[in-house]
Amino acid sequence: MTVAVFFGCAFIAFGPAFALFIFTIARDPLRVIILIAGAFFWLLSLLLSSLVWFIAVKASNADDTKLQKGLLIFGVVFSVLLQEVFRFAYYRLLRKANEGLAAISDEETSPISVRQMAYVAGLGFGIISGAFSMINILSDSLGPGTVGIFGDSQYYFITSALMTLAITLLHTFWGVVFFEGCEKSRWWVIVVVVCLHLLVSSLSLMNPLYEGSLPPVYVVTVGMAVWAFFSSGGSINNLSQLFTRKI
Amino acid sequence: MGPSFLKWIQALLLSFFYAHGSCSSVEQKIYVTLKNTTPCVRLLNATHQIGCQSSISGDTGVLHVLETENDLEWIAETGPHAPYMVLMESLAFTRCCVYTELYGPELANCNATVWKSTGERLLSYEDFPFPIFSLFSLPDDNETQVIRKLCDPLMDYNVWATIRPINATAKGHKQNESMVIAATRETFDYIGSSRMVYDMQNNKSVIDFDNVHSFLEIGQVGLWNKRNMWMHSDPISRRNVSVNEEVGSLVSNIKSAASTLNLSLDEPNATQALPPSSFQRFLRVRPIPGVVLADHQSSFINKYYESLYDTAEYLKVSYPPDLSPEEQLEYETEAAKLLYGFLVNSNNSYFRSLLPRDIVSKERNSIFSLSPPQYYVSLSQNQQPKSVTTFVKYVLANMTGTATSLNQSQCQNPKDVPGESKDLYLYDWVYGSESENHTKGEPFCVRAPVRLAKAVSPAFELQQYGSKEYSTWTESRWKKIEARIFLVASPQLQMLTLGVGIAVLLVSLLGTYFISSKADILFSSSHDAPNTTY
Repeated sequence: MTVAVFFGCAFIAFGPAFALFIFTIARDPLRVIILIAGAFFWLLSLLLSSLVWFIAVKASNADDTKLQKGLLIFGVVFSVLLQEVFRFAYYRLLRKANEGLAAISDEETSPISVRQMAYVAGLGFGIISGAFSMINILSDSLGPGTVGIFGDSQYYFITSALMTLAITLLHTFWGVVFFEGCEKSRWWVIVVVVCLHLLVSSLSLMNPLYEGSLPPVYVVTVGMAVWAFFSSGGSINNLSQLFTRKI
Repeated sequence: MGPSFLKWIQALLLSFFYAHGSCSSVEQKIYVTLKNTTPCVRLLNATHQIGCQSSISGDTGVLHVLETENDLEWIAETGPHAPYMVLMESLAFTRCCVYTELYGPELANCNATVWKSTGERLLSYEDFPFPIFSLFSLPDDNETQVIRKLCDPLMDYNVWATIRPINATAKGHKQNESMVIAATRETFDYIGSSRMVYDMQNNKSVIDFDNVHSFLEIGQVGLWNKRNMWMHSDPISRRNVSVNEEVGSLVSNIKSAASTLNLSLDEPNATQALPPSSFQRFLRVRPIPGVVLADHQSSFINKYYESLYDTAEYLKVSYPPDLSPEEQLEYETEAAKLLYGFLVNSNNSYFRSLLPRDIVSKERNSIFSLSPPQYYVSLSQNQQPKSVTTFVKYVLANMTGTATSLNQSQCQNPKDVPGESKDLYLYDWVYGSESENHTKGEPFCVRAPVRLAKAVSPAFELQQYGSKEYSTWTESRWKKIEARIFLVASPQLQMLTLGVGIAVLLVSLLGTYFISSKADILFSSSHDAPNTTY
């Protein structure tokens, strides 16, 4: 029976990422490369931040619970900042690569636009961070038991999956908006992205108070989706065009 | 966005302090591993199996507390959440409750005299296709398992002592007028005595059959209330005239000795067979005159003899309630001290005073516990005798040995001292009795003609794993036995999770397909390329 929970959680957490990969990434080798490299950059940021956090925990007094909680919050903030630094570094790298691609291309323009790269890179960040936050939980969801014997919420698995889904989508949207901000040198955009990332990550610290963490995260996700849509060339006009054509 | 946002963060961080307990792994939030349990394990011999066995990846069931017998019907038939794991008091663990029509009572009884009328209580020697854990904890002798093949032979040590010292190196030789007191590990088809007989037959023991003049076995003598004991003898060997005469003189000797102690001794019906006893293993080799002393005329008085329930609680051993452990130890007679140590609490000043100092002062894996020693023969581990065997050894050493004036180093190396020999005696630097203020004992060197002899079934020595002559009981190999309690998600929640998952997957597949196919319209601003198009 717990197989149902496993597949349910897996579909929730990775269904959208899977669909996006299948329909927009898989058939283009260049996009696959950018996706994997994006995931690698995120992993590097995780490696560095976990190293710092590990040293901090080892160097501190393990019995001081207040200090340990403070360290956890510091770790979250530090990790978020580091992820954004690596997103920027990846943007710089892709810009350089784009110039190179344009130089060797037949048509004098790059085979992939910066917006497309932004989307693919963001999805790469999202998939790998989702995988890292969900894989261990998924293996425990196979059962036979479920969380709750110590009075914890029984919705632990499904809310974790929903959180992972939101984080994956958010990374994609942040990637799109962030790259757009870098392209147009609108630094406030980057600041907002970093702040929203900080907000979402600190919201997860509220768990297991899921009512307090999940809805705000989904509000942010929807808002980011709209923003990403407009910043990647979408408009109300396009939307209405789509619907009128369809009718 | 500035100050209000910061406030938000602050509020969130505060709520984190409030709501978040500790950062532990998910598994710790799911499972409660039961500690201090004694699992029932699978034992096998060439033809039979007893004990318990779970399914290959463990068994799971809904925990149900059995309060009344009416709950049985719920568990076995009407309950909607089968299978169940039953939590019951050990008193309720009876055949009527555990056996359903699936496991009929097909237990064969011996045809003539039923020695052990097991009654309703389930005993240790049955076969269960499901796991059982006892929640009252017994001292765990099996911290490390030596794994050999798929099963490991049950083994321990026999303890024996002689009244007169005999040379342990002179095997198979004639030794005259020596009397042997042996405490053997007999459970599981006479492992101890069969090994002793085997060693005697094969000149591996210091005595052989030519040395055995007669045999007096003290069987179950614990529960004689009527001051009436029974002397059982073997009707088959008594057909031999000389043996019959010897038995007769043995019986009259014992009777005359008993009359001075105000004990009445009787012989059961002459045709009644010998009760289960170590003596039978010796009689198999040759007719030896002998008597088995016991408190029962026919069937055992102690229904729980050598079973899980052969404990102080079921033998109704009790002390006045206001006695401290030390006062309980000193209660009534000298023999009651032994009873207290072997049945109630092995960590008492009497046992401590008898044992070697390095065993008493050992902190880790101490053989002393606030409970009785473990009586299960169990496996060989590091070739060490089990705790109960160690206690018996030093109790015997105390009774047959003498305190010497040797100092500690001489005690450890007695061969340098003239007149002492390790071949004749066991030397041990024992802890000694504790003084009034419970600090430390006054150690001294004890010298006793006590020996340990390996009690592993000869079948394993001979590699006759299908032997019908010798015990072939083994314990099935296991790596980790544990019981844990956890919650299971309700079917509704499970189905909800799966349903949401499938919905999310389908919606995202359809949505992505739709958006990517219309991407050139959706993302066509005047001067830039579309985003998610392919």
